Amino acid sequence: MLSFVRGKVLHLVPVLFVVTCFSFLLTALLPGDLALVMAGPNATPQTVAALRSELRLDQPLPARYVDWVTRAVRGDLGTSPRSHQTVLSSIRERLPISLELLLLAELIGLVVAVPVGVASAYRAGGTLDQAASGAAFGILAIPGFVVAIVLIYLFAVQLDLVPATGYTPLTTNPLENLRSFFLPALTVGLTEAAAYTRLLRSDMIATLQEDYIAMARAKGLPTWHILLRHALKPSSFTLLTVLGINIGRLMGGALIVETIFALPGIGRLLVESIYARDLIVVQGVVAFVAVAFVLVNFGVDLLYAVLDPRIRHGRAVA
Amino acid sequence: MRKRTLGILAAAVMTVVVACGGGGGSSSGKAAGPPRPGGSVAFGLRADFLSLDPLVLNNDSDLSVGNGIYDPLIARIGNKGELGPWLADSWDSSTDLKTWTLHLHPGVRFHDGTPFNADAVVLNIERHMDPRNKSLSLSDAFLVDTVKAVDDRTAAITLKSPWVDFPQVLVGPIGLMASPAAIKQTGADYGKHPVGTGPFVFKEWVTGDHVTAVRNRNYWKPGYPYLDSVTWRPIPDQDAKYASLKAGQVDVIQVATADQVVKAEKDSKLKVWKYAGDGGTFVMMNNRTAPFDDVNARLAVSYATNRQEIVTQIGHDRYPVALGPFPPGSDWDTKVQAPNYDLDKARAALQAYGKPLSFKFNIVSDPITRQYGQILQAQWKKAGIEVELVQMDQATLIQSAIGKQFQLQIFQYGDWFDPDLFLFRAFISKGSIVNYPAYSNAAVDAALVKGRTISDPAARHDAYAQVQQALAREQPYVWLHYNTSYAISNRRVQDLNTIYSSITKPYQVWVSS
Repeated sequence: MLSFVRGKVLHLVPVLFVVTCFSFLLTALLPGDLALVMAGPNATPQTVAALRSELRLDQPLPARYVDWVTRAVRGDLGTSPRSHQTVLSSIRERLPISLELLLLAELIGLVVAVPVGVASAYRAGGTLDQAASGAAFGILAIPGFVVAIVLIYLFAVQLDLVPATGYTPLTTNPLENLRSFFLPALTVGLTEAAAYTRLLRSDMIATLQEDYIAMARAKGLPTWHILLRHALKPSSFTLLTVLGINIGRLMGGALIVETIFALPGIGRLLVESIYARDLIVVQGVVAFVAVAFVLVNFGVDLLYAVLDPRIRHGRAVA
Repeated sequence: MRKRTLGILAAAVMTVVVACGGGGGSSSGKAAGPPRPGGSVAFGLRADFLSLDPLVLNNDSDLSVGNGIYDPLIARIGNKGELGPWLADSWDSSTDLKTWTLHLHPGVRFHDGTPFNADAVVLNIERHMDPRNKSLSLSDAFLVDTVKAVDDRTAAITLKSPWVDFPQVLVGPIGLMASPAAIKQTGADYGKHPVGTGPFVFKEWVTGDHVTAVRNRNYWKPGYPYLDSVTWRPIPDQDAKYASLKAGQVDVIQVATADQVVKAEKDSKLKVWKYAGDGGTFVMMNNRTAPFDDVNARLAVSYATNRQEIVTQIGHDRYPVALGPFPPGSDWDTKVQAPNYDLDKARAALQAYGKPLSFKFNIVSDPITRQYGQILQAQWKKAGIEVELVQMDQATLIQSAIGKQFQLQIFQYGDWFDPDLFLFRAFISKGSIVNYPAYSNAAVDAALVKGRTISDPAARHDAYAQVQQALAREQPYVWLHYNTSYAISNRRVQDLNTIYSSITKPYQVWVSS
């Protein structure tokens, strides 16, 4: 197991290098001169040149990358020229909001998907399976921003049950906090639930064909016991993979959902910074999200090994 | 205020050509009786803001909050954005228009109890001038040479060159006065703990969600403000913003789109507020390279442009057609004959040009600007002009404008209130990076310099009449329409009259019971 972890960690280093390199280049190579934008229309060439040198824009790209990474490793992702706030403090302020959204959305996704997926697989082709499949395809076919607006009109404007937009911190009022997260978490969670249900159902159907399930049935074990204790764990690999990717993705905030519901998470910070051409923040947030994504998937890889001994011993999954 | 100039920053926020509407007048709702003290109002803003330090205020959203907590030295008070006294009771300039003296209102105190005086003016303006502070108004602050406190109630500002429009700058972020004691005390964190002299005292900030401020009980303008508290909520998504107004999370939404205005006008629970501004949307042509180095090519495009169709299709007829820089009713408009839609004249201009006219048209790849591109492409084709639409992101569009690497490009500028603020930078032949079309006309240069450096209104009027004629004749820009600021509120909100450049001011707002 230890050598497996060591191997994975060694893989991580080049991946992180490439990821940070790309997130740096992505913004560094964008057209537009930050110094010109900051100096404004009355600027003299001298002032622009002074700003360029202060922002190190006059240095060669590799030097700027090394400088940026060295400072990033020390926790200094730069300071936004727009807000004069450090990028790290902006991320720190907004991360809990994106994480709470992530947690609630995945919770909704799993709470719906696991029972529905298992039940659909158990009676594949049955009424529940058909209804669940129809609903899942329906939800997957509608884009998130449409679901969001429909939910707002239904729950906030018509029924007046929850706020349409906005955010209340957990520490101020936990109940209001949950109310403000209800619609965004539902928007993200419904799509996740639909995808997870489909994945779990098809893996589960395959597992239920296995000999050891027939054996368990022959032994007269109760159905729920077979489904949950024997079939669920080996059927959850694809689900786990996608869950890992989704968690990594949502670490960077749900860009559209956070923007629509005016949730001040990482995603909205990124969107607003792109609109404001605040490239230092964009660069920092993209790097942060990319690294988080890599690390979450690294965690998921380790989890596979826990779930399936064949992986940690380096053999292919059958 | 940066938005009213055709600066790069103004260009940077021009993403889309949104939220327009037309006509004059101020609002559809008349106040229901005399103002009533009490109550609260929540404003739904277009963009998020991360700091309330005047150093970084620069758009309609953060300046709306800024105008609640701070007072400007000079304010816009008239129906057309005319200047009026605020923290400065009066101001005068030296005859060479280089030194401006402000006479400050006595007895004003910041929310922290410290007195507002000439030293505070000096400190605030010098903060913007110091490049190390990276003020977003640095561009305007560049023009200031020195600021001095003559006595406790008099401040003198000397500019590097004469500028008749300098008082306009003091309406914006540079003129918003922050407490020197608070700046010293909170240091780098000041932007999160703003202290001004304004009608509302900062109370609470949940980052990204809202800022709340409560009534300044010791406000220096007797009787104001009426509201007990004001909340500002950024809601970037247009549909969610409208839904939040309907659901009651906010009472006002700023920078409403033409679609929303049409919907709100049919809704008995809502009312629409507007300010018919002088900012405009236009296409500009690079006068330096072919084909638009030939005036006939520019005239052909101008005559082939059906502005009314654009206003109808994109803006639901809610903003006025533009043929030049001055909107109808402007004091500066000299009713010059400018090219308007006329296919015969377009074909005649093409004949004079002598070759088939084809070019690349740069647009931002957002849905609304694409719509402009497609409509114009179809219109010009009717005259036999072939256009290739080139979609790009905003940064590239701005870069190609500055680098003059374009043939024809769509652009927009914000409200400018005085012609110098817009025309000088946009059309002076030397020394301006925002003369995007590389327009060059010695007579226009002389008129622009005259308009900037003299104060006699009649002589200025003549200077700008000359500029207007030259622009109509030479068409470096083809104007499409003027922009109008719109806000929508529920019916309890009263007296939200002045929304110049979409900036709202809560000091006079009250709510009916």
